[in-house]
Amino acid sequence: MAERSVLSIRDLAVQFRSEQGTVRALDGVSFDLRAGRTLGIVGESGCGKSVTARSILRLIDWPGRITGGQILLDPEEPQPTDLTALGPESRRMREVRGGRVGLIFQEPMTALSAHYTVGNQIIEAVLQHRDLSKADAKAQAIALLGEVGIPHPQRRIDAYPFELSGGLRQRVGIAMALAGDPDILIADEPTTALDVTTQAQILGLLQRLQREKGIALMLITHDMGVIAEMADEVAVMYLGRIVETAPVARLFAAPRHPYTRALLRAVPSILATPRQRLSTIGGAVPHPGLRPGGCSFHPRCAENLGERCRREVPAPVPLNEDGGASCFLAEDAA
Amino acid sequence: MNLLEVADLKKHFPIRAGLLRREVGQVRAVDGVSFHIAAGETLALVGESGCGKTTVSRCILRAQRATSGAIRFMPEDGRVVDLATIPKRELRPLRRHVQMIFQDPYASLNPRMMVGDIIAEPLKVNGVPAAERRARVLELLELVQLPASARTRFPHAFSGGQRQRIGIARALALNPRLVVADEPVSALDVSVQAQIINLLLDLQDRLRLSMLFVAHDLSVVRHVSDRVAVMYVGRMAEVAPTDALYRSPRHPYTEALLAAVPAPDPGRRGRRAPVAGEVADPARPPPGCAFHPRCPYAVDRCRVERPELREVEPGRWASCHRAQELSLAGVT
Ligand SMILES: Nc1ncnc2c1ncn2[C@@H]1O[C@H](COP(=O)(O)OP(=O)(O)OP(=O)(O)O)[C@@H](O)[C@H]1O
Ligand SMILES: Nc1ncnc2c1ncn2[C@@H]1O[C@H](COP(=O)(O)OP(=O)(O)O)[C@@H](O)[C@H]1O
Ligand code: SF4
Ligand SMILES: [Mg+2]
Ligand SMILES: [Mg+2]
Repeated sequence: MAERSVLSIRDLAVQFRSEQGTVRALDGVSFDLRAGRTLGIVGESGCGKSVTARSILRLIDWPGRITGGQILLDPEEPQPTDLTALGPESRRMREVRGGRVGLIFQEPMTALSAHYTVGNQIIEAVLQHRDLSKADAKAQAIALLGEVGIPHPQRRIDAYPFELSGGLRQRVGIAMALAGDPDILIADEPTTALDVTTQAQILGLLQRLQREKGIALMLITHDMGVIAEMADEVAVMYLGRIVETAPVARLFAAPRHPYTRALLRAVPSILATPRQRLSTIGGAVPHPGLRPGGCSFHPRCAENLGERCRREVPAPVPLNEDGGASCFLAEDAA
Repeated sequence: MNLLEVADLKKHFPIRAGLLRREVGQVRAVDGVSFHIAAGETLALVGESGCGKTTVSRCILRAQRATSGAIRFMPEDGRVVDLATIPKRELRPLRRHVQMIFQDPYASLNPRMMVGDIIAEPLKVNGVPAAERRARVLELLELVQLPASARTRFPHAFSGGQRQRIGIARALALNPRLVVADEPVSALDVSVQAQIINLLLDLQDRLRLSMLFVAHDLSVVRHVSDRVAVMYVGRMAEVAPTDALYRSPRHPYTEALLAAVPAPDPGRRGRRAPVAGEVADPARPPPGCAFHPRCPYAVDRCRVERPELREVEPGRWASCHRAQELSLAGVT
């Protein structure tokens, strides 16, 4: 039995306009975030991971805009809220952003100001989403800092961000994201800028918080190791589309999209033999403004079927628990 | 003698404070580091950010002057110079023998120069005539698997991976004895990273390249290096042949680093708890073994006595008081 879906993205499309033309940064993206589960989103630079995250929070600025699809909060309730229908600065959207949905950035300074103490900023965030006295908000901020594993929170609350190490700063970033007591957390490469030992600590922290609070976690990364460590389900993105979804064990054991297969073979491994070569994927990710026709992966695909892949667009991945791949090979195998 | 022998290298930076910018302390960025690189060998220098990797490589390149210690380098057979102390004047003719590959392929190429000129620049500086330069550029482009037509185009026309190839071609132009590569693949996407790793493996074979490969990604390092040197807070924790280091580390910090790397295999999920705590501040390193506040094996001695780097078995060095008695877990 699948967990309750708390957020359903359906056919989401986002375009950026530029002098060179229109870039379809997202081109029909669909997935669900479920209570207590982690959806890992993986893909190479520019495939649309961050745009997906920012769309959910309605943080896409001009020249970008959502041009289609729905972002349904509480899709299983009688009256879901479609976030694409809300004004980005509307009262309801402000409540959702940082309230129901918390965001953790790659660089925690994106969320923090250099000019205020971490305490002031977390208290501010707490007050924005909860009706508390200043003193209670401060107590809450200290509790949050403790919860994310910051030693001596009573003391650290008066620190400025620059006085903290990268790892502690990311913990503060997580405390900020938790200030509104969200049940959905979106983490956009939260450990990419950190060392492995710090990364391991932060990933452990996210796992613990999720378990304790039943949070639906959307974890964006380009690191297959992080996916293997963290995700329950995985969505692989390529050029603004999801090309494969699968439960994590299945994705690694039996990837169904040629891009996923190629990506997995190209990842350096801690278990490599000396001087072991890697399989490579021909070419590079094209600019999304120059999306190839047919299956957009076909020019790089070692398994492509020729004419058909050049001309026809494979069906999007099915929205079921077992997932699937947007590829004719997978369609034919099914 | 080896191609390069670094002995007890130190680089301390002054910490200044107050109106008069008086020196109030020192950052011991590199604090007594020793290792060697044999001809034809790739040594990886790994460790967490701030541990001193870049400072070591900058001292070798003489972009920075060592505080003390020796950097013995053999520019040609039978001749040895100390890059730490050699006067500037005598340094210039040596520069061609030690070349650098940079991390950021976007920042390291002059956008206003054509690719052919970028690659030819070190040749020009060293007085290679124009006709020979042109032939060499074509040879180099072929070596890094770029089309000859790349010569007349500008860097902006190339992707990150292609730019990294251009940077590699430039570094190899003068047939350097030693290449120093500081995080050469960490800014690249997986698919491009794989291509550059394969290229480096090719070049190691074809040119018997000697390389100092500075990196923090232990997976990448396992693919490209013959031996690994692990740094922690300005000192060497362990030096060992690559496979031996990953299979059976001899320093608790190496064990902790390896355990922290998430393997791309969901079956191995959550095997070990990550090491606690944070990297020490090189301005105030802990007494004794700098790793002791985080080390699960620390004993009283570790808190007071600094462990020296010792050969714990032939070809393997570790700086841990307990290196001989501990049996540590690797990754296999
Ligand atoms: N402000 C913008 N203006 C124009 N195009 C944009 C803008 N932001 C994003 N895009 C386009 O949308 C595409 C998707 O970008 P996005 O930032 O989501 O990639 P990503 O998957 O997060 O990549 P990375 O791994 O590098 O973080 C990009 O290729 C880019 O061209
Ligand atoms: N020019 C400098 N002045 C002062 N401190 C420096 C300077 N360069 C490096 N450091 C310090 O030396 C230590 C090692 O830095 P670095 O060699 O860049 O580490 P790594 O490359 O391993 O990340 C760090 O604490 C860093 O802050
Ligand atoms: S010397 Fe002591 S503290 Fe340092 S690594 Fe060895 S056991 Fe741990
Ligand atoms: Mg991104
Ligand atoms: Mg560095």
